[in-house]
Amino acid sequence: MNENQPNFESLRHLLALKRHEVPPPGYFNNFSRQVIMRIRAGEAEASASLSERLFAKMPWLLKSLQALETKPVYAGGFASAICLLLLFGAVIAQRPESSSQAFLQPATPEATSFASATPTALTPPVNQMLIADNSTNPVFNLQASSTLFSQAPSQVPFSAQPVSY
Amino acid sequence: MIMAEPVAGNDPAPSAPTDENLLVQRARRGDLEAYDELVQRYQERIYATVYHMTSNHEDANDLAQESFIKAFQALKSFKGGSSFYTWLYRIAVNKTINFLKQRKNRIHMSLNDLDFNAEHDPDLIALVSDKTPRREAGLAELQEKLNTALLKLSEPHRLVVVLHDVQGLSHEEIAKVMNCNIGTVRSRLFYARQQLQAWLSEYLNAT
Repeated sequence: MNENQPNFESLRHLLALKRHEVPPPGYFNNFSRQVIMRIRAGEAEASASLSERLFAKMPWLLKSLQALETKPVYAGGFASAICLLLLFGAVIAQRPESSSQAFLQPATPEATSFASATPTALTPPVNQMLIADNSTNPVFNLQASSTLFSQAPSQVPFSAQPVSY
Repeated sequence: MIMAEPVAGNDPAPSAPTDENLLVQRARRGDLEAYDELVQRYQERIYATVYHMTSNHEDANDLAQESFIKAFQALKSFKGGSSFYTWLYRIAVNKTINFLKQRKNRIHMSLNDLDFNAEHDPDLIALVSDKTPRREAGLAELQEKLNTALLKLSEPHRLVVVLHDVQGLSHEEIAKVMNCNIGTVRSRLFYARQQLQAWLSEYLNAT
């Protein structure tokens, strides 16, 4: 199996003809440019096809966007709805803060005097209320302020402190 | 213009490897200028291989371009285990073989013109001698018969002949490109030459 057998020589001479087959003049001048252009076009197409795939999966989204473009009434209504939604969100966001402040500062002077006058009588109901409300309201820790041993429990004034976890 | 020098054992990637590695690294980061330089460096050899496999300029143009595009897209997966040139060659060869399998029975030749040097090539002058039965055949006819005979070969056999006898790659380089051992390359080359010689006997010297 010697490849350099003499009887293949003339075949190799004939195959030399293949090396003289050349593309049209100037063909390679634009070759690399075309390759780079196709690479760039492919990248652009890939990014474009992302949105196309999204719309293919959710055709209602495309229809909605088209409706917003073609009919200004829909666009105005949509914008109003967004504004109302934002306003509603802002109001809701402020509500828990105001309720916690209301709890920390008793609304009536009677409640304050009652709490300071009879702390022992108040303790069980207040604790129960806090436990019951823990899931929806801010958590408050009822404890004697720096007087655990020096004062009798009955004399310790209660103070509410906000605790955040 | 000669597309590839048929020198056995010729290094297919004669440029400085460090320079090439830098270009490859830049291209991996998406630098198209660096990749443009790599394309210019190898465009003629890749085109020539694909053209000699397909015998069709338009197909070769498309396949060569697509090979470079695919190589750029796959550049991140290029680990550097082989040279960039071998890796690129493998992509082009695989793409071409897949293409040829798909168009199995739709072979249409679109041959490039022969350059001016063909008439003065000593190999061809030696071929057209008194001992050649069809010595009156012109180069254009020889070109057509040769391409027809090459297309009769199976893709792996044609590829070995093209890479070795036309492109001038060594057996070792062909083995790397085709992902097979050197013995396989040698046996395929021998068989392909035998086949070609039988089909083209009337255009070859009797010696």
